[in-house]
Amino acid sequence: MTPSIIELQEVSFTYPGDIVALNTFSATFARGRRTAVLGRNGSGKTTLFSLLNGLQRPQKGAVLFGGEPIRYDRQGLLKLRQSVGMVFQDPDSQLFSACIYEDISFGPFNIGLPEAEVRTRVETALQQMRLTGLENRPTHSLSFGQKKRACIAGVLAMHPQVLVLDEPFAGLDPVMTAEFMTILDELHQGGTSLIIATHDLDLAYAWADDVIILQDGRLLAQGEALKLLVQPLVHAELGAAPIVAELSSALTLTGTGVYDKWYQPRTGAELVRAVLNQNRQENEQ
Amino acid sequence: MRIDTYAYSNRWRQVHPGEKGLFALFGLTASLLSKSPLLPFGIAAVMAATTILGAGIPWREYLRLALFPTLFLLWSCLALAVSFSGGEFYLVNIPALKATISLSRQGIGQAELALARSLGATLSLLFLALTTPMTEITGLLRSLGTPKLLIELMTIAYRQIFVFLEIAGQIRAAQEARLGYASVRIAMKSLAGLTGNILLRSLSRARQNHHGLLARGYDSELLFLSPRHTWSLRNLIAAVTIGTTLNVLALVIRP
Repeated sequence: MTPSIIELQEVSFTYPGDIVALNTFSATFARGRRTAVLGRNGSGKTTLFSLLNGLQRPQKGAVLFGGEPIRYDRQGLLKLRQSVGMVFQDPDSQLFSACIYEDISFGPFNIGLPEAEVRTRVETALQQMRLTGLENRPTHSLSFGQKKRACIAGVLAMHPQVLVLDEPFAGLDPVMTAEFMTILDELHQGGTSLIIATHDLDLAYAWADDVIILQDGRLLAQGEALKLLVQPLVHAELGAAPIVAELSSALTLTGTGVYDKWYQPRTGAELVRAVLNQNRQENEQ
Repeated sequence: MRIDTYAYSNRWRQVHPGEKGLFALFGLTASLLSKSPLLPFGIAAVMAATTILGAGIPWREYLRLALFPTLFLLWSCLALAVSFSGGEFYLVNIPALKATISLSRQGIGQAELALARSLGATLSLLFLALTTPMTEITGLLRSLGTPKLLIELMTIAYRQIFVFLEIAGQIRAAQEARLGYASVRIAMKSLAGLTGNILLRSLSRARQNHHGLLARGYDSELLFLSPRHTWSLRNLIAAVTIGTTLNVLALVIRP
């Protein structure tokens, strides 16, 4: 078990008007891992995310970062927000300036870095998110995908240890999604812990190491993506199962074993390859 | 909005905003200082020529954009020229009011000067607006020491204009798709709905934006850096020389 980076201990959060968003919710986000948070609409994902970055404060329970309870004073929050980068679902709620260069410089400047360092970071973030050449275009003329990348650049420039993304793939075309996945994988390889909220089970199955599943403000299940997402309990709550997992088990039932001791196809492409492999082996025998 | 598009796509986009700002400012001061109407008309012509020939703004578009303020100026100056107390050029006599409307020589002179000054100043500013994006003008004002609050407001307001135009456009399209503008009566109702909706949306949008800023360590002051621009000595010299000449002429020329 890898050490935790963020931990929630019996957290409760209620909005005015007795709307319970989280109810004695406990979960652990592992350091350096890719975690997908799943749950139906209104299950408390957004509230959970705003707790991770200190935007909301739990009414009961505690949120721990790196094993230490979060301090909600000015210094504590500044440190937390530097370490936990938050990318919102709607780019328009994040980009405050019509010039993305100005927008990206905002976070690093708030940390109190000197101007030269901020400029280097902005340049690096622009390159990292493949935005070079677009910094002279006004924000309102950028495409949705470009705006989304600008939002991430603005957070990456703060060099966070954890990147929290709310529905990062919503509204992106398949090409953009694939490109985006590559970028996330690069970050993951660089040691950044990634947390995303998504409704896409196939994507969670293909991408995540761990999953956390919410049900009505409580933790339904937490564990490894490959094991958890195929369980009937999860299927019943989320209303679907990853299609690759379903196909794989159906194929196994009909005699085409695609599972191996250490290998489990996670994407459509991997499944096809496994089936072809199996076929070839049978022909050789 | 057309102004905004040209500001980002004109030929002088990469020119340092300070150089363009200086040129516009000199044009503005020379126009206002001038005592003869001739010079400001000249400045207006220079500004129009620079904007069209230099920055490459299509002349038809430029005329369209300049026409509106010019007509406005013409009408306002007309009022200056007209006199009720008996001028040299008799126009209308209204016996019922025992008043005569006439034009006076002095009034005409005043109107001419006011028109010239305003036109020169307007076209100077139009030059800046058409060649320099808003964010760069804000950056320029910031480096000149404009109060922070004003800069923050300008930055956020400018960005939000476009966010809201998009939202308003979407709501309007949704209403239109359900025949929300079929008759005048229904259109009024739809428009009211649109306005109310925008208010609600702006409130929730403000909260989201605030959260967005907080998440990146916002602490009651909007800190950010503007992209760097390089000064060009040639442009600077040109702007200062032309600008100073115009201002000197403005002070020297007597009507």
